[in-house]
Amino acid sequence: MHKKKDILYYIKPAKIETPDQDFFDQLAKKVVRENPKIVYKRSYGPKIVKWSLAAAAAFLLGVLLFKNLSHDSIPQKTVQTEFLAGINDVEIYNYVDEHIEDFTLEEIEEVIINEDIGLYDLENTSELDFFFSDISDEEIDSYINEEFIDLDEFEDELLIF
Amino acid sequence: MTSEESIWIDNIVSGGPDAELAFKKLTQKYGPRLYKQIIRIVKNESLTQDVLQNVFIKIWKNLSRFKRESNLFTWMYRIAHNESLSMLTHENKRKGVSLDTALIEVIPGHEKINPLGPDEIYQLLREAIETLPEKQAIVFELKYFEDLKYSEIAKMTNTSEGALKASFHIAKEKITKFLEMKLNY
Repeated sequence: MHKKKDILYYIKPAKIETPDQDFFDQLAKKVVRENPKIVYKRSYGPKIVKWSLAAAAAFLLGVLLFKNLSHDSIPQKTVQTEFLAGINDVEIYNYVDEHIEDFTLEEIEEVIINEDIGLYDLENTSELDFFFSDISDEEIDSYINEEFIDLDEFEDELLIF
Repeated sequence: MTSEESIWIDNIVSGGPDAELAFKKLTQKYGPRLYKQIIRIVKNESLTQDVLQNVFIKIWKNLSRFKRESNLFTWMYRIAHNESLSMLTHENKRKGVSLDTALIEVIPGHEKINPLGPDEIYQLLREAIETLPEKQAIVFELKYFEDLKYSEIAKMTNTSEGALKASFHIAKEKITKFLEMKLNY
């Protein structure tokens, strides 16, 4: 006695031809080219960290130039004031923005720690308010929310706050 | 997921110089499989190519969100499935999809099936597959349509062969029942 055949026996899948390998290579290429990835480097990720780096780098520039000029007989305070007065904030930020990759956080930290820069006591965190005086808490919160920044990822960098 | 795939994912997610090469390898490996999966849903070659492109864009953009403990192929399969259904809905609303690919052959000899055309039968089969849970649907598609060995499916889905055999058996029974019900047994 013949066993009754399953209904699926009468429905056979047809062979499907797929495009050749070149099609898939071109597809991958197209997807990658048309959808560039925005990669946030951990150390420089959010602008909030960049801002603190920029401020620290501005210090570094000030310190280095101050050291070079300190051999002159002009009093240090005057040189510092004149030097900083000669460079506006936009120029400093532009420079730092362009050269941010040249500095590591460690390098900046090292200079700040080893130099008596005389202007701010970095251990006193309230002095750091200076850097962010132009940015409201709401703006910072809004930026963090918009960029989906997970503050836990930047725990180390944000310890200064 | 193989260690090779894990490296590809790392490279793609990091977005470095190796990202494109890694993505190319991923596309080469899974592109044909996803192509077949998509065409079985949208049933049109040109639409399939559009959907496949959307699928790989999603993979490229969202691979960083892929959880390593889940299965890469299953994740991609889900994207392809959702993207295909979404395209199909969109195209059906717009102008209707022209079927340009024969996806099944009907073997003569079945009194209930013979009066129907292949497109109608395929539509029923498709509906039946859509009733299955995802894992059963994957196993059914890979075994029934592509005739892959259980060992191959096991590698792709990171599931034991025994579990796959059981899943396929259950899927087949459900589909048979569905078809019989639709054909008024």
